[in-house]
Amino acid sequence: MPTELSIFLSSGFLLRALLAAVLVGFVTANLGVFVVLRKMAFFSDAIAHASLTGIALGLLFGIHPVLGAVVFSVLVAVGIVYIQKRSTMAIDTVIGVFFSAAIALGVLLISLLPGYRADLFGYLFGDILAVSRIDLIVLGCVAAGSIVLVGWSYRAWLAIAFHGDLAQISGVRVQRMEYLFLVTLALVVALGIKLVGTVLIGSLIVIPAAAAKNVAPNVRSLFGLAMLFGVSSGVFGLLAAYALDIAAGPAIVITATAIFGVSFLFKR
Amino acid sequence: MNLLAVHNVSVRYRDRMVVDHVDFTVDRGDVVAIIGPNGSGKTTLLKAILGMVTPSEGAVHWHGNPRIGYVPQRVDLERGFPMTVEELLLLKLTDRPFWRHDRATHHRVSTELARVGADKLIEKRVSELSGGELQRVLIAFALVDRPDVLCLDEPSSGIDMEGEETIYSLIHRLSEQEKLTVLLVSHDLDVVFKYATKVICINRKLMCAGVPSRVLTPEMIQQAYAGTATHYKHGRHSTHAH
Repeated sequence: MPTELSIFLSSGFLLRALLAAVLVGFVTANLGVFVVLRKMAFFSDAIAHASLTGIALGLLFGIHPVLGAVVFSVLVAVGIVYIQKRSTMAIDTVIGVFFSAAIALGVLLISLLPGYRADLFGYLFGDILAVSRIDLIVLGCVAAGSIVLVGWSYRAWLAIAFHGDLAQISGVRVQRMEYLFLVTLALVVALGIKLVGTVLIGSLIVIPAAAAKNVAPNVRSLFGLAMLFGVSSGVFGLLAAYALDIAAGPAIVITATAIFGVSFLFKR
Repeated sequence: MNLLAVHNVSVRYRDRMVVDHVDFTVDRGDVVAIIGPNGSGKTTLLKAILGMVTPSEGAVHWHGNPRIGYVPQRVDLERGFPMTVEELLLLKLTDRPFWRHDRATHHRVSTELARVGADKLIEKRVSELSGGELQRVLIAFALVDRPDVLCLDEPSSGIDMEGEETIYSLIHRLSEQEKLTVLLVSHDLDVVFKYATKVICINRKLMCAGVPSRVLTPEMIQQAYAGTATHYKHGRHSTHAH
């Protein structure tokens, strides 16, 4: 095993994958805290799945697929909030409609793509071992951007998670911060596509934060534990994938789920 | 000059008129109780006053930009919500990340909580507080900004009878000590007679406004609650109207 580990660490593409896993694990878990506190797990999953349609649109019109994913995810998120605020429908119904429609449109658009697209599988389930130096730089920039956004907004998002009206009276511009949250969520979804793909990125946002919430005595430790669990899921999932010769994306999500299982045993 | 003037305010939700041309004023130092039967538009009126709901007609005018503290009727937190009482107050008390707060800030949180007799709750999770404890903490949260006006929506909901009396005594003490103007939505007529200097009784429309002992006659109460009301005594000396 020490020999295998040294081979792992001396391999450029594996090291890049490891760095990507740390970055994505850190950022998704950080934002995941707000997703879990605001009971938006289904919402974030819908945005993640909708990014598939954005990728298909990008491939169809020759735009960078990840940019397509960000733009389409933001549109779906804003659409869900817009319809929900202007109707008497329950939020999960609205999400359900958008979620199904986005998936159907995505599959339809993919069927229109000419020829066989091997890269689509990577967008669906992630292809972390194919992370290039440029990918890593883009990942780093998006991660830094989302960390700045979270750092600037966490106080307002926490106040909204506690009580929206109270936050508004305390001077938080609730609607503006809600939309900023959606944009950040879409950015983080796009960030994770390379790692675990559109199908599993929702789980990487929700599971580490949910595991942390099981055991954290306060919000301070909730952030710390969520980031620890997110990074650990990425690193140990990748190592497990390498050792067992299995797909990295699912291995990372299963590692996160295992951490959640253990945290559930120690639930407060 | 009046601190607050509510000019002919109506609030409509789609086709339904929830508040219908309500008009009254509030002076500095008043303790105003907004009362009325269930579904009479009390909470909506308070939200219109606070700017959380836009009136479909009329206007709300505050004079002199007063600072406003608000205590909502309900905070629906799931049991696992991990925020502690200290972390809640730190959202207002410091601009620094709250994992980096110092001893002085901790002392300030403790002092703020002591004002409402809740300093022992500082390390507790907000989601694990009883109804009465949560109300105290929410009042402390509202008072952090040193407001001129304190608005409370049914401050006794979810609290047992004894806790209810304690919360109203606390509000009364704070209003006198801090020279606060208080607007509170209540269904408890005893509270109105005991603590309020002014009552606004609505049943979508304004039924009466003025000094409780003058305007709240049995006939007026009967009319405001439109025959569906029951005025009953429970406990030793509490009268509620629903």
